[in-house]
Amino acid sequence: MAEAMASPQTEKTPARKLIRTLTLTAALSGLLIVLVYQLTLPIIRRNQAAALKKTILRMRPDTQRIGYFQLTPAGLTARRERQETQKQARPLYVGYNEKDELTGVWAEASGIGYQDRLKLLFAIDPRRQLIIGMAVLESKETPGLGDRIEKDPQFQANFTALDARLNRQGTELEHEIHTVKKGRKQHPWEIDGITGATISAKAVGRILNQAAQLTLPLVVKHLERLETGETGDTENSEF
Amino acid sequence: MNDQPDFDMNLFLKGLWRENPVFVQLLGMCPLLAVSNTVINALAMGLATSFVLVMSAALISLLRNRIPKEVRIATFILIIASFVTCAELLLQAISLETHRALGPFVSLIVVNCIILGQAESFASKNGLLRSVADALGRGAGFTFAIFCMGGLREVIGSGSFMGQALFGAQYQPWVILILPGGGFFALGLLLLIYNRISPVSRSPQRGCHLLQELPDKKFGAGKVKT
Amino acid sequence: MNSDSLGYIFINALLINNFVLAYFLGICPFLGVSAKLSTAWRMGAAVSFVMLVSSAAAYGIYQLLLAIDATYLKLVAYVVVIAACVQLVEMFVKKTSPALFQALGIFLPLITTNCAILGLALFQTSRDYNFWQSLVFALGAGGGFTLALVIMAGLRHELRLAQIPNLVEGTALTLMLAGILSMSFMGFAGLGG
Repeated sequence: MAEAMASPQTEKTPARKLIRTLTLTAALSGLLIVLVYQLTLPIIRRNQAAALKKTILRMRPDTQRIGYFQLTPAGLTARRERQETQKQARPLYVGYNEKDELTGVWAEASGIGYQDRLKLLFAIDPRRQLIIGMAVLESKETPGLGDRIEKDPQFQANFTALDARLNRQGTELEHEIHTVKKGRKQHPWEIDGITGATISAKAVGRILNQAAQLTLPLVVKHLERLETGETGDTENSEF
Repeated sequence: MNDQPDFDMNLFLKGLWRENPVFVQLLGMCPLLAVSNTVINALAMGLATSFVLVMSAALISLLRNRIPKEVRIATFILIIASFVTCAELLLQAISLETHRALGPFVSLIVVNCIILGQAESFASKNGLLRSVADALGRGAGFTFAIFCMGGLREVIGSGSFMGQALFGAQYQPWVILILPGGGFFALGLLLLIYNRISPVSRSPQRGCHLLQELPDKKFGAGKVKT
Repeated sequence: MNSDSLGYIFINALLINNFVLAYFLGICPFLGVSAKLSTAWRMGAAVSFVMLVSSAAAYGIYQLLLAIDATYLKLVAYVVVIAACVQLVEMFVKKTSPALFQALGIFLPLITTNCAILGLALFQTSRDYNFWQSLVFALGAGGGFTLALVIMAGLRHELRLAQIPNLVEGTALTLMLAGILSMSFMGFAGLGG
């Protein structure tokens, strides 16, 4: 493999023994890595799934099982829980309650925050066309200030029923989601900002708007398929 | 002395304090600064580094007579990189959250000079038990240093220890200490304190680049006498 | 601005998330080679050059690993490829431009264990940058590294005549300076947002 090919170039002199040593070491380390990888893979996947389920349950506690889908340029396709999403595809998680009714659709959104890339997970109620939850998956925002987008209950309250209605053609949102100054929220599609963390709060609004503009039209369009959940691989595991 | 096969307590203590890889040799600064903003992160980093240090020291000391001199650095790096990959996978399996907080810095253990330095100056010349003792000492020394950093930064910077709030609600945390700049301040402060307690002879040749500049000279062990 | 636009990637790596001052990558050369301004420039140039080459190489290697579905080998592969890159760059420079080799030569081997280079490769992978984004990212990171090193060298130059207590002298003082520098670089945050 790559390491076995590249390393012998670095030293040329007494060739055979050097190459043999390097190849043996490379083989040994490859073996070791593959062994540990195989051993830990199921545990890691389980941890990842558990973390996702915990976040989803926090937003909609009545969720009983999760369906796994992905949005590709070609449309909506189902995917297996343990399968990675394809390149350029955006994962979509659909929650169902005991009676197999849809509790919400979760999608990811990312963009620049104050410091670095922010990655969010947001929940959509497709029938009412509302955003009903937002969680921060990855952030490097300033502790104590910017990270209030995650921890501040007042800011989080913005995302219990944020208007994300589609326009008549169903192509984009009727009103752009954006963040306003704290206390100036007038419309249901506005996010009440945080004093002292203006940039982070604005970034959340912008990132959310961008992702919602892309995701919502597709989710609404494919709502029937998502509701039946037939094409999704809905393993009812570890719940 | 090199033939002594016993587990030597002195070697362990030397790495822990007298020749502490961080405070005396100024090695492994990058992870020390980067992931010490909470105690949990700091401890995880310290333990992961120690794991790699001990495992690779053991393997290298077992193979030490079979590795030709010319390719020893390449071989060491290969061995270290595989153990780092293992450590990363194991950490992911133990706690996804910690793994996410440490980010790419787990992978960057590979280029932590403490490990390559130990392999080059000690494990490749000594027997299994002595190498493991030495690696344990240096690992403990690094863990101790990064734990101090994490403690200092978390207690003052967010007013908590391992996530438990220490002071009342009226405590206004010094946020600067958990920001990047505060990492430099905290390390500067700890170096001052260490120098006050046990003065280091001011040898100009400290830090990672030593390893490359003097590839064949003795490095690290026994360099700084106190 | 989009977080994937080339301009933002460059500014972000150069100033907002400076490799040395915000990510703490390459601290060793930052502390060790920042005593003189002329050496700082050359070290910066050498690192930037190797960053550019190894960023392209790491991109290629990762595509290869993706194709054979063995991404868990990426760390081992990167380390070896970077080491080989440094060696090749050294040989190439030695053959083609002895003057350049004279200027950069002693720094090149130092770079193999420089975490900024490996960090660059790992960051560009975890952020899914494409080929051009990776190159611009490498340029920004190299520029940022050089910038930090040169500013530091300038500061230390000014301090040479100052009266400093014995205890603080050396690394502790350099670290304090770096802290102040890092704080001032925080002012760049939000740029391009």
